This record gives sequence, structure tokens and C-alpha cells, in this order.
Amino acid sequence: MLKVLVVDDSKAMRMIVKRILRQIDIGEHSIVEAEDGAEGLKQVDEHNPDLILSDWNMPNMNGIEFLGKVREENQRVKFGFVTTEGSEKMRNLANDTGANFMITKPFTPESFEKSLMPVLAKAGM
Amino acid sequence: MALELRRVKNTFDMLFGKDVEVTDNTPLDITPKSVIGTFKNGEENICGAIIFDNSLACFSGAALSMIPMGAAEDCIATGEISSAIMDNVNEVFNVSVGFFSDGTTPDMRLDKLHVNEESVPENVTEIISNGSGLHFQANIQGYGKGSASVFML
Repeated sequence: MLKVLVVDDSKAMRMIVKRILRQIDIGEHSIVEAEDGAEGLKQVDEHNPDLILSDWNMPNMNGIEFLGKVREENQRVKFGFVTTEGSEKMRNLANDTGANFMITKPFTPESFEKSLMPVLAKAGM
Repeated sequence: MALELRRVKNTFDMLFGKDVEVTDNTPLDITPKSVIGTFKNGEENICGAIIFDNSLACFSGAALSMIPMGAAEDCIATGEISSAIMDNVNEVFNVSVGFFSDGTTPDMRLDKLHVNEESVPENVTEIISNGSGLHFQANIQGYGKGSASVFML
């Protein structure tokens, strides 16, 4: 079963991402949530997720700091940003820090699937 | 202002998981039933504001977590927004920060909601009274329609 961690300070956005994951049928999966990067790190330690979907702009620890911390310990987990920040500069920073993909808000189920599924398929998930 | 109706529609479609019809409208005035969200940048300066009329606040707050339509209609009739719907309205404004984002305002965030017009900062009321910004009506499938204005300061 695919273990997914959804990190966003907006409860509504976490709910939307969970709804989209159901809609695009990624198969059997479980989801844990965190409100920011600091809490996300604790969830990574506790649940060892296969996939992390994270916002960028969050209090306490933002998404890029969170990604950097995750990559210090874990190269296996697939990490995608779900964010409004889709500039070239930020995409480059995300790639350089170890992100696997970026989904720009607002998204549709189709655009979400198009970004996520190739990453999962390539990893055999 | 770079914001277009298409971005509002895409954000609302994503938010509510259903079709939302978004059309041009005239500027909104602040009334005692308006809900006004102010947004700050990374330097802690207010840099944007959104006004929802009472109908859009109630319908959007209800639609977010599929609270029955009757509860939204009760709030509209009484002018009192229930705490469950108000919590959701806060989330709707939180996600609506995306209206302003063009990749150059990464630290922009919802500062606070004002349901009392007297608590709206003076510089925000000045911009709102000038009427420049994007003004629209949104019709949320299965709920109803209301109006909003978006201002970049």
C-alpha cells in the first residue's frame, strides 16, 4: 500500500489533495497529514512515507527547508510540491534541492494526474 | 491587475470540487454583512484584500465541506454566519491567496478576516472605495451565487 504524507498549513488544501488522490485512482493508499515542515519531519520519521505532497509557503518550516531536511536522510521518498509558486527560479530551486515534481495551484484532477503518475510509474509504485 | 476571471474560476473549481460559474460584476461596497480578508507580504505589509458579500461567504463556507444548503440559507436569512461555516470561510480565503500569486509574491498570506467593517484598516478601505480591482459573481453548483471584489494594494 502506498503511504502518502500531505503537508499544508491549509486544512482545505489538505482536504482537496486527498479528494484528488481518490479521484485519480492511485490505487490502495493511506494518508497522513502535517500542518508544516516541522510536523512533516516527525511524520516522515514515524510513518516512512513513499510519497510526500507538500506546500511551499508554510509557517515554522517552509516547504523547501522541509525538502532539504528530508533529503539529508532519505533519497527514496518521492517528493512533490503542490504550490502557487510556479516561477522558473523556484522550480530550479526545488529541483536542485531534490524535488521530483511540482504541481501548480490551481490544479485540476487531470493536471494533478499528469504530474504525479509518471513519477509513481517510474518508481514502480 | 494580472488576475483574471479564469484564475478565480480554476481556484474555485479546485476548492469546491465542482463547477463554479464566474462572471464579471460591479464593485462591491462594504456592508455590515461583508466578510473582508486582508493579506500580508513577507515584510508584514498589507498588500491585498478580498471582499465577499454575505451570500458568497455563506455558500462558499457551506460548499467547502458539503454542509447542507439549508444551513447556508439560514445564515443568509439571519445575517449570522455559524461557526462551522465561518471556519470554512477562513479556509476559502486562505486558499484564495492564490488569486494574487504570479510567482513574485511567495510570502503572501492571509492576515485576518474582518466581519466588522470598523476593524478594516484605513488604507484598505481607501483602496476599496476607489473601486479598482477585479469584481465578480460566483455561482457554486448546488449552492448559489454571491459576489466578491479582489484588490491588490
